Amino acid sequence: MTTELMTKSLRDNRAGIIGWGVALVASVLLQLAVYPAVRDAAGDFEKLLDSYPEAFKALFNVQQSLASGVGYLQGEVFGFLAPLVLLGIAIGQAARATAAEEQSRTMDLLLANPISRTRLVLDKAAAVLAAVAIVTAAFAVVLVAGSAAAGLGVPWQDLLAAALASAVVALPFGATALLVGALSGRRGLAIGVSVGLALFSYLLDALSALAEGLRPWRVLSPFHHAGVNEALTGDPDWLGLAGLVVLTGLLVAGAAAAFERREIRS
Amino acid sequence: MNVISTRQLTKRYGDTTALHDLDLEVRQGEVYGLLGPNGAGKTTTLRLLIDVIRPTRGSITLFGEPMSPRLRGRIGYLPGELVLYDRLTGADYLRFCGALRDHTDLGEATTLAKRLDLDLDRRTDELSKGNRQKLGLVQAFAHRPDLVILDEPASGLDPLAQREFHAYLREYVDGGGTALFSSHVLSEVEHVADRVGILLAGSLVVEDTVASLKANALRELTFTFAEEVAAATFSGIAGVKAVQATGNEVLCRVTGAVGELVRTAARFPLLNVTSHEPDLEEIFVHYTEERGDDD
Repeated sequence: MTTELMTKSLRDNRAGIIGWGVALVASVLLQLAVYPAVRDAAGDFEKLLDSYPEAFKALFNVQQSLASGVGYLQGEVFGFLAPLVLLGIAIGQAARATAAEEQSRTMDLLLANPISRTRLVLDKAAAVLAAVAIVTAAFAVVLVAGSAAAGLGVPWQDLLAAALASAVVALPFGATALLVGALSGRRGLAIGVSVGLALFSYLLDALSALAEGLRPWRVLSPFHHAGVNEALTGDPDWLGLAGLVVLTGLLVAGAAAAFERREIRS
Repeated sequence: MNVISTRQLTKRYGDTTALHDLDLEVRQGEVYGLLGPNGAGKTTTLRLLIDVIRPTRGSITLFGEPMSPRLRGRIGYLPGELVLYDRLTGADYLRFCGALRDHTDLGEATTLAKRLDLDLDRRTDELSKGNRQKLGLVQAFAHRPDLVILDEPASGLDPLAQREFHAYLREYVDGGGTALFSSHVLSEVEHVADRVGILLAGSLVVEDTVASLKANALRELTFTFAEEVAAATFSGIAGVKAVQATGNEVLCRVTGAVGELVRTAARFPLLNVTSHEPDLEEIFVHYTEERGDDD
């Protein structure tokens, strides 16, 4: 047993990991740096926000006053930025896992090595997980330190739980990209399907706060089960997160089974 | 012992049959050349053997077993369309393969690279097509496999490297290895292979040793006589396919033994005989034409 394939995948994705990671960390720092100014001008912001349609606020996760630390983080960090980046890494790299090697025609030689196809998929999945973990760790560190410095008054445990929840919700979408890539050998399709599903799930969860009719359907959305907002207020949904991890495992197992049967394109 | 054995191996893509009922046996210690024009099913056969595509019907055994990841450790493979990871040097690439194959010793790889005049410190994306092909060959032999499956191995190699590779391949099988390679270059098969299979439109039309293929091939014998001899004299003789008389010269196309033909010719005032040895190209064209006549 060797970790060579996982390390190579991780090394190949180095630029992506650094790029996404730096973008996230820098944006979080910027958001936190302007927090004191936002808080001091809270009155004006409230007036502005009150004039926004409810749907808009729901979409950008504006739940509480932006003047409160939790409300600010929900709206500015966890509402859009963190899911975007973490989904970007998980989906982007998982879609490359087998499909990119197949499309660039390096897969024939890789498969000629004494390594099972299942092992290959698992190693590639582990590399994606490691990439998400690395960026999440950097994000969490900056979040905890920056929030303390900017005086957001949110306990560090809640920040860590929210960061973890943001990462976990990205995993099933990454695993979907892995599965579609293993089934089709097409990177574009893997990205398209996963991004589509992520967008749909996000909207379903966000808009169900407004539309009564949508509410029963939100159980279908991984974002509902991740409970990022609840985690920020000290009430993380561990069961929901565990469910997402199990779902990810099932999708990865499906990807391995699909790849075992796959006819590699020449 | 058969290192490779296939039974009724068939591969269809929709309505197209890429390979039809292939029974292929490659014995331990031989070089088997799979010959055929483009699209005959050579690459399909090799990719089925290495298990990157799956048969529609039929079976494959390698070393008497079905393919498994463990078995792949005993096999070296060169794909027809070789794409190497870029941003790696040749040595890095070999180290990566070595780690996956649990064979980190680069001794054999270094030896072959030196013989082929390949610089392993250059990055793969800086290599010429010929040098990439050399690296492809080096990785196929690097872990001292018991069997190599090579798709058009000489493609892109300069004549010097080709000759060196052929010499290496001979040493490899003399040392107990077994090789199956495909080619559409007849001279290559002629030089290197112990046995040849000709694949046409997905079917193995003939399989024989190079020597025997040549013996059974259509040859041209030209007799020069001191006087005119009628073409009809030779046309009834066993093995004679065509006779053509021009002046004092008679050209006979013949397969198999030529004894009776020569004895008949000797009854006339015979001045000279020339025999044209067929190369595989002619054999190949002969089978292609024969095949074409059937359709």
